[in-house]
Amino acid sequence: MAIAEKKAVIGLSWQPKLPATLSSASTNNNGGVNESQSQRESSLLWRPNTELVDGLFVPPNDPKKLNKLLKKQIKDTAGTSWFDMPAATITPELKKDLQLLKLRSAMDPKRHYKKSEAKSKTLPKYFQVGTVVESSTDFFSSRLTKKERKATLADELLSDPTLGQYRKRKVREIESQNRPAGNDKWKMRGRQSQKRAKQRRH
Amino acid sequence: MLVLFETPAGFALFKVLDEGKLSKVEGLWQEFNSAESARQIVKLKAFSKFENTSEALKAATCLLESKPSKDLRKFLRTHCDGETLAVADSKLGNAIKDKLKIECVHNNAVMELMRGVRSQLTELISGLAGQDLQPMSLGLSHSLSRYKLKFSADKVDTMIIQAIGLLDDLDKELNTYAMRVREWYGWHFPELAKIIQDNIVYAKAVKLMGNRSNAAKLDFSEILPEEVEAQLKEAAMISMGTEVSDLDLLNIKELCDQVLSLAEYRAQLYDYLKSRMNTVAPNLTALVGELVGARLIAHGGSLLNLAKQPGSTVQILGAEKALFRALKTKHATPKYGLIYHASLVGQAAPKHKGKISRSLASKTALAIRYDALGDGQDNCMGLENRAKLEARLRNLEGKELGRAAGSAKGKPKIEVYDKDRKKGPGAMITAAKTYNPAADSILGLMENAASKDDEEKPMEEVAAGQEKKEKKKKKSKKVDDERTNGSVEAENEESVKKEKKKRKKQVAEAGGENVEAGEKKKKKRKHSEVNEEESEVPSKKEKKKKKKNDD
Amino acid sequence: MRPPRGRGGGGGFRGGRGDGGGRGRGGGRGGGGGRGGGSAMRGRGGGRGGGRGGGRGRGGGGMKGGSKVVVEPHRHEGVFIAKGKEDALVTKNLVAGEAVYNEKRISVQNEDGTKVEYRIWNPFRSKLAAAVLGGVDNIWIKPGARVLYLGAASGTTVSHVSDIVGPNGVVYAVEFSHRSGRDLVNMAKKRTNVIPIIEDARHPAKYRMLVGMVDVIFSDVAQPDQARILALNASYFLKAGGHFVISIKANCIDSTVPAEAVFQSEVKKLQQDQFKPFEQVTLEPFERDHACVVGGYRMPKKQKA
Repeated sequence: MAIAEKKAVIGLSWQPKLPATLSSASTNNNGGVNESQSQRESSLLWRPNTELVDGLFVPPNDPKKLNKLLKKQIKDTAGTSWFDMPAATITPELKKDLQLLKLRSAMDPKRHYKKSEAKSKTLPKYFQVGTVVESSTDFFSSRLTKKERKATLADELLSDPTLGQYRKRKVREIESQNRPAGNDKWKMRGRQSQKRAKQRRH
Repeated sequence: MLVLFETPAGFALFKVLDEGKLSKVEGLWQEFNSAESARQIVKLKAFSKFENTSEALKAATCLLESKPSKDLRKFLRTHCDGETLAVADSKLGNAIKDKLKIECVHNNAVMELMRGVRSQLTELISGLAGQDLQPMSLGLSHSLSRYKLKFSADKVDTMIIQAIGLLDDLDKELNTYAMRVREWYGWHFPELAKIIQDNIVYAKAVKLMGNRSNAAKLDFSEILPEEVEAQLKEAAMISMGTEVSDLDLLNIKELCDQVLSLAEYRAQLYDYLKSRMNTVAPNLTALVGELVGARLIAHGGSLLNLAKQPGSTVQILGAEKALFRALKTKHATPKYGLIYHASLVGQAAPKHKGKISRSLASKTALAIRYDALGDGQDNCMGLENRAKLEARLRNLEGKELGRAAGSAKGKPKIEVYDKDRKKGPGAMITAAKTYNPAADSILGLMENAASKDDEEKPMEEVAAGQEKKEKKKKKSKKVDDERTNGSVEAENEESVKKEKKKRKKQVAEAGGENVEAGEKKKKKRKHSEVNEEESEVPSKKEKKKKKKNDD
Repeated sequence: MRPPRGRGGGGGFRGGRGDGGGRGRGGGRGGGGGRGGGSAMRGRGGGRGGGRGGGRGRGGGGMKGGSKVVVEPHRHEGVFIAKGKEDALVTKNLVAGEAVYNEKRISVQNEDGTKVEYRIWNPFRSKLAAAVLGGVDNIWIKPGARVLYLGAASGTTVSHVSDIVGPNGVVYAVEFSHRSGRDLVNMAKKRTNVIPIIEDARHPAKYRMLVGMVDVIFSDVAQPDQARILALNASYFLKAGGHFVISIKANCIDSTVPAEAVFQSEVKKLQQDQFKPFEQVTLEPFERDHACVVGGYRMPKKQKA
């Protein structure tokens, strides 16, 4: 009995058995499953200090730490209420996309979005990135051609020609606003002035 | 007491353990909050499972018609002896009572009980989990709805609805094509459009003629009357149209072919619709004709739906927009909808269209019900009613004609439509007619007319007279101008009698004055207002009217 | 010419529920002018602004096929939002790879290689979606719920409800019109959690055999006596403490009084039938003179602690 338990613990660290059982359980979508799961976890993992495991992996004795470790291995989802939407691993591109979504109200002056979501800086945890599939009737009316399709949201927005002009204009405006006041002559311009500026700095 | 509960898996019979609880309908549902307390109230006595879907379907269709199926009867016979049975459908209960002599109950308490049983069904029926029930109800519902759709009751109506829809579409198309032919060929021979009005004849002529220079050589006698043909030939010689090439003409002719074939098809379709309408709704057809009848059916959705509408609804079916606008703005509601195109309404003078459409609508409603729900296959009822309506129309028109003949100059009097104005003198007219023979009342009237300064009296008179007139209007439809004084008198008495009947306190020997005095109380404020401003006008009109009556 | 569609149609002005009559819902509603959808309509050629023929109501605004979106959980359980250049309400498709009424879909490739699909839920075509976007507090329709849907029509909204309740829930979809019932049954063939019932919702006794106790009743019957219909069905099938969502079209009940008054009188009627209305939202930008009332049925008395 004890051996079996030991094995379970060892196996736990190497092959993520728990997520598998969890996912299979969660397909049942029963609220009761989670309780039994947690019970099983405690019986599986919490043990007195005296028990030592020689071998490849020694689980930390502290139950708190152990639970933390365990939690890391369970796949994080939005819960059964949202059909276990998984938390995505955030890559730099993805992060950029999400930030772009937050700031999308700045992209197009003619579009308006709910204000509330733009305010909070936190990025969503549970989400999925998908591609719109048009219906057969929309083949000519509402479809991006192969050339127009991009890998990420950011690329897509960048490639939109109508938005590009507005963006450029805005950037110019902001730059001109931030340009230091004074005579144009004294402004740094071109390579020459940059060199001078460097010399001056040194 | 036993409870019959139908599940998609089979019939369940529950025994009610505690009948005392049933008396408290309000609190009954709380007993079913938990499975334990529910088990204290009812217990499963027997369960008859459906062996397969077809059996379930059979039972379900029987239940829809509120009849116990064979298996259910058997099941009840074996398990329900000498007990009362609670059922969810009173009709089903009656059927069971008739066939099996089992006492059935259906009331609020039973419904609450059923509700409770339904909420704890899986707990109460052991061995029947929710997961089992689900596929059963899924299978049953699919086969049931398929059955329903397959044996749709109103499929013949659907044919009519589609046919009339297509007919309308065809008419529209035909018209556009025909106009295109006229437009196109008009460049070559613009005069033709004036000479031949009919679209189909036009297309035929164009097809035959081709280039207008051929006109002189051709014989149009098959499609055109002689004088038109002559006209055409003459116009062809001196036409100011441009020349067109043979290729152009070829294409125009193709279009003509299209128009002609469409027209032919339309005729075919119309025949089909006619025959369908005559079989499905013969009486309706007899009353309003095929097209209007079919439109009514299409509007109602089916003949049966239409049969559920009252005559007043049938009258304005198709004028919903106007109706709702009128209701919203508190204006007069429309007088007719689709029914306007019925020939009876078309025949009527504009003045009577509203009246006749109301009569027609009520008769139509009856005819529709007869067609939809009656057993008769012939259209005699419709024809009979149509004859009646035609008589009524003649009656209305006849009255109108008579009145016109009786007017002073022998011309129909053109009355300006002004509600208030019309009412005042109108009232006087009838009043004069009515009271003319009765010497005292006419004297009184004359007196009153003469003495304008006396404010109070004439008003009473006028008002009373007016009221009289309104009563009369309903009653004496057959008034005509040759009415002698005697007849008028008789009518006068009659009207007085009517008053008496209506207002029991009226004394018999009371003359006109008395009647009026009695009337005064009843007099409406509106009338008095009207009369106030018009108390002078009538006197003049009155005299005129009198003259009319005399000659 | 549009083929006649269910809901309404039928007889007379009361919009009886027979088949046929061309005055169904659907169709024209799309034209209502998509909120915020306007600027998205740059035709492909740039200059051809607003040239998206079919009417902007359809297919969730200007989300074009092939564009990338981020799908996030919505506040309501079982509902998601797809965010791209614009937002769209979506539900997780129960039958991946199939659109029910030619709506757009969003296909997602998960990290572990599995594929998931979402369907865009158009508020101009579905009153429930309009209510969700209108900010209703709770629609009570959630994964695992059992729903009785009165006035299912062709099953466009029903398909989304079936998505929301998921494989463990059930939707009993009641529709009387045979014309739209045909489409409903076809839709239900693919979705095993939808139970189609071709019956008049006025006579719940006729389908008492098929329907079990439900958690929520959604009613969209657009009939003058819809409050009565709802009460009748609730007395048969709605569990104590269950909820109802009813969409009220003011015009259907009384066109002569202002919409607000109609809603009030309907709510009053509901209160007399053991319903306890919680909230009322107007479906304004999506439907004219419509309101959605949400509430409970035979709510247990609150224990005073």
